[in-house]
Amino acid sequence: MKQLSGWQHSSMPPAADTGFLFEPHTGHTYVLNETGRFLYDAVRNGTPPDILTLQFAQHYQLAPEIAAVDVAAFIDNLAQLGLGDPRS
Amino acid sequence: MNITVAVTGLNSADNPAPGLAVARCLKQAYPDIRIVGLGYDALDTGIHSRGLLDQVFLLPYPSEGELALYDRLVDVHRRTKFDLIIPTLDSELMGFCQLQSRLEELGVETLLPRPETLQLRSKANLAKFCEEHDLPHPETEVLTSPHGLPEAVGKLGLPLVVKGLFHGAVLAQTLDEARIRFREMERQWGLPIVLQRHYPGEEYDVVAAADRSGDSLGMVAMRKLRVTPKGTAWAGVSVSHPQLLQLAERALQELGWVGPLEFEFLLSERDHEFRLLEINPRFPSWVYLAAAAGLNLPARVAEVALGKPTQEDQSYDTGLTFVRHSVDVVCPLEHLESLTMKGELVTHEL
Repeated sequence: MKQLSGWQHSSMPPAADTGFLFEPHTGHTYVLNETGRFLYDAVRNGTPPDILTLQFAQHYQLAPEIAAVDVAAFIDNLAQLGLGDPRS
Repeated sequence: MNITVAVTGLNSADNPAPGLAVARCLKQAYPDIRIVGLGYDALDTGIHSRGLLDQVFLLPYPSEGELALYDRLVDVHRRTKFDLIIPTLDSELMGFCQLQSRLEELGVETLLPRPETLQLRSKANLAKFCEEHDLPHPETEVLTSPHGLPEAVGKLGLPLVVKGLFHGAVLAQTLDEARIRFREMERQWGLPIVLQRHYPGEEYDVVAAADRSGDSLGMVAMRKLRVTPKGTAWAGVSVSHPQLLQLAERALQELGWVGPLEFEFLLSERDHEFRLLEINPRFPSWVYLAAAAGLNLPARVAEVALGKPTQEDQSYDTGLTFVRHSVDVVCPLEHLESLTMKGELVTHEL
């Protein structure tokens, strides 16, 4: 799981209300669904993974272990896409 | 600004020349400006567009040499005075660079590099320039004969990119196809032919300009969103990748460039590194995106060339997108007659 320490939250571009996301360094665009938007906004606000897992489980009434897997996968996905880090 | 600017490159077809975009930028900054369009053919599409060009004159093709170009410019200047000329075609740049001092004597300003600086970034010399200044670029072979193709293919691998001296870049999948592409490019643009290792990835361009001291007047980066079979951007979005802009800034400084130019980069999907593919010695056809994003570089070039004050702010908006489309322009037969018989057309009465 990608650790959030050192993650450049401030450089993560904000997602629009519709879930549309434009990364201004690379020019890539993304579409976030409702859960993606929930997780992206939380990561962007600097929420640590363990807290985010609890919030995610509570908000969507998920088992914590399932929420933990989803949060980890989402954060890995962000890292692979280079979101939040213009150097990648 | 009560001035007249002459702009070349009016054929806005499938590989659009930048002249109309430059004229549009100038008109946006200075609605009262007069634009004299300099074309090469009565059917150069941009000649017939409405609202940008006040007068149009046809020039001799660059292959006729700089003397023919100069004589025609003197003739045009006698008919309608212009203060500045902004050439926008690769094939004519050397002629204009060599004529700078003679044009100045005529009362026509330019903002162009010296001929030797122009040569530094030519397709044939770019790899050498990049190696000397530690700028990342694709491995390149420059050939004056197809006999060197097997060895070049051995070095660069397949597929590889075959490039013409001024324009054109096509992918060759096999040695036989490379031979065919070589001959096609040679027929169209002459020798040498440039071969580059192919890196799959995304294309980014940067438009920039520098003043007479070589200091940047600003730069705007764009990611190509849609590309034609000729490699021309048909849609793009303004971006601000720090690594991309730093590379472009460094290349600009190392060149000691004066005037407008465009950098073409590729972001490799293999190693996520930018590589400099080309440096074009003029504004690109997408330069209006830069003006719309807040950096009107043609206006800044005009201001600097004419000794006027210019803005120093180099920030611009990201996320602005351009999309091209084609429009049928209908013009009366008299326009074609005037261009064919007299080589000129007055579109706005003075």
